[in-house]
Amino acid sequence: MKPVKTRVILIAVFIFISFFSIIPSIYPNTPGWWKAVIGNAEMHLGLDLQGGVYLVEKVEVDKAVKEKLYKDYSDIKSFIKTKNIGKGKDLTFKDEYIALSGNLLKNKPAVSSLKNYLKNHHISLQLSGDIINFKPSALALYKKEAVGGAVEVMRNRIDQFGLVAPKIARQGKDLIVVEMPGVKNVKQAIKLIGKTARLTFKLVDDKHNLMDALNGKVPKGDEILYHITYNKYTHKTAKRPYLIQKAVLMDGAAISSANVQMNRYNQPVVGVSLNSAGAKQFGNITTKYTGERLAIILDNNVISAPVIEEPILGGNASISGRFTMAQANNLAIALRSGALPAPVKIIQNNTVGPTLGADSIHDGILAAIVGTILVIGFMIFYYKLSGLIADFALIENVLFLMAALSLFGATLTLPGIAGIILTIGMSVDSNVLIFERIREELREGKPVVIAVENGYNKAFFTILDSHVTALITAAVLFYFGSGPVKGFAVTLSLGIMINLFTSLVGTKVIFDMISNKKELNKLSI
Amino acid sequence: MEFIKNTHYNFIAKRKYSFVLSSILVIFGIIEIITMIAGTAKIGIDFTGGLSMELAFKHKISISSVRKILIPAGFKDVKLVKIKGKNDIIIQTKAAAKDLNAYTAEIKQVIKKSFEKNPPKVVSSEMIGPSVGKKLSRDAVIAIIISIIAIILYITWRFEFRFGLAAAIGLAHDVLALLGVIFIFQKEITLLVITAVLTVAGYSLTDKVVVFDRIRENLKTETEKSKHIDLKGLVNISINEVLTRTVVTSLTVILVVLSLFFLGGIVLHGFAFTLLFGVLIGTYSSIFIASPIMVILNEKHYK
Repeated sequence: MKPVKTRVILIAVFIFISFFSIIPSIYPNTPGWWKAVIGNAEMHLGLDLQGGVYLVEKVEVDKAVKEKLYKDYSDIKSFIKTKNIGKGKDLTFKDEYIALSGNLLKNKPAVSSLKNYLKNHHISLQLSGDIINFKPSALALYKKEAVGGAVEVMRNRIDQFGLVAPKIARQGKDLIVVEMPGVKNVKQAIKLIGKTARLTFKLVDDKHNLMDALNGKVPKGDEILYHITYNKYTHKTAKRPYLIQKAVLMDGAAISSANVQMNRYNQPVVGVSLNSAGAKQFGNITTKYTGERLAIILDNNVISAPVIEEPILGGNASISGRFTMAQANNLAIALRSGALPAPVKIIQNNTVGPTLGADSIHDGILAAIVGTILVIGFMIFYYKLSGLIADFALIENVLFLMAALSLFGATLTLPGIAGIILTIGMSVDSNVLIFERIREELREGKPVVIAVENGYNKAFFTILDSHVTALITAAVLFYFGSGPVKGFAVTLSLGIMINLFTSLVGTKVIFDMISNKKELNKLSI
Repeated sequence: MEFIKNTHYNFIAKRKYSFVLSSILVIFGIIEIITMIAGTAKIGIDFTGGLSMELAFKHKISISSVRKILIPAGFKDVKLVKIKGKNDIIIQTKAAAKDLNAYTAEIKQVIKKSFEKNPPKVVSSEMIGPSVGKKLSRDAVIAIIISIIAIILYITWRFEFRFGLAAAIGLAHDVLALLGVIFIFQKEITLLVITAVLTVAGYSLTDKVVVFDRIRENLKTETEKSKHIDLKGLVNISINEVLTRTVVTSLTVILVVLSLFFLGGIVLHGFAFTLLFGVLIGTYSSIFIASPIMVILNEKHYK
């Protein structure tokens, strides 16, 4: 007699736990307490199965660096002007550095006071030779923070969609991977999360002639920006130019909240509340420039350019720009979540429609069922009753694998389904090895009980070694794979580990139970 | 039921034939790699960068009618595929120098305008920048090299170095021969195909470990059968002993891969194709390549 009780109980418990944990993943109306017991763990469908978007965005940190340097350049220029140690033309902005003129460099006291100024006000800059540039350490930190900041801002925006299991992660030096399974309006979502949403307030230059500027004579310190309108009846876009002073009076960092409101003409506008510093700053600007036009600019597009009729001191303002409701909503979200620290560019965009996803699930499940039936049938045909025992292990395998995927909250992708199907085919391998051993032993004339025992013992190390080697490649695949390939590697590795258990414990116990019941003289194998 | 009973095939003696066959496949595999590096091989857009878009038209559609629209509009370098049994067309193009976002939008615009009576819906679209593909190819190469090294180490630890080396040569053979088959059938190398190649690498190793394990066992047990024969004979006996297992396991795996190939849908087609040939090659090489090489390595070692 071989003690089988513990093993039978163990397997029974595993089977029960498996059923218990799989049900919430396949039956959406599972009661809440049930889901709570398993820690709300659930299998998710990857975006290739339920539709959605996979994006890789490159954060253009160099652009942000250039912009920051330009801001510092303006500061330094006004410093040397006010201190009277040089003129505006002594400094030249060269994208990656600021060049100093020979005249300024000759002036020793001016250089030392410039050095002092940098030390106190622009700690990330350094004067090296005849240029001012970023300290390498400060530059690296700034770039890192820009990408990290972009991830945070994007996460805030994605949260607004209320998706199940969206993913956003940094990859490499300057890439951000965004996965949004099940997102409805793909186009709008991509647009919204990638919007730089840099809000700036600048003055409209009404002293110079706009026509001259459009003909190429842009006054120094000015730029031409456009207000773009879309006519929904004629489907045409119109561009209206503005001559804008480059100097930024205020930016979106001063905004504490933003939401959609209706103005008195029942048109949607975006109401903005400013923080206390911002309110004060805005008060000063509107006092100083009363009567002039203040351009509200989002990502280099002029949204509106109203005349400042009176100083605004309360810290509340509204932005109107003939928005549709959706546009106003997106703008409010973008302003609330803050601006991206640097512009982003999409370098990979995989969009899967929900119909393709449904087709893939259908095809995958069909292939899995047909594959399983073929293997089960073959095993019974070839190994008779013993084949049936191997089939039991196979079904146990699939069950445990699904349970493990549910409990880990894994994301099921199409390659993941392929991994499950492959596991079905490979899972009988261990039993084939064992059965062939048992047949060998029987051929040598050994009694059934001994033959079974020897078969399992002799096959043990073969099974162990072959599983470990397969696991090594699956692990490497997981480590280097991306997206859907990772899902495949996960199911494959879990399948290999579970298979080790079911083939060595799960089938052996059945043989032992049978041999305990009656004296076996013949084995159906 | 038994297919194969008590066989005594002399597999090692057939090595001349198998080495010739394998050399041919491996040469094709090397050609595939060279063409991959040169950029003339069929490589999917996940590696080259580019865009792929599946459009579902409302009514019947032919490839030529879509091509007629796209070529005059300036989209000359596009590949069109029609999905059987559906009104779906896949439009693919390799990395264009210009902005891919704009390029995708332009194609959509042109088609929407020209097929107003048969409006298409975008079922899926994929746009990949060239830099993404470069990282991917590098990762795939690193993955293959690391797994080969890890496997040699593990097998050397569990068995002996000559087994590890023979398994690694067998593995390299399988990967190259599989690429050779891909070259012969002119299949496209995609991310999923590379995944399948790595899976095959895992499968083929499992297979070699089983054969080697039996050789090791027969080397250890100085029974009557191993006393009077040389290594060649011993390896032959071992292969014959595990032959049934080899055939049966390959068969069950091939059964599921076939159902994946015929029923798994268009996305998994190349994946299943690669797996199918990979399993065949992996099984073949355990018997006809890795084992004879083990014998050869051994002769060199002890003579």
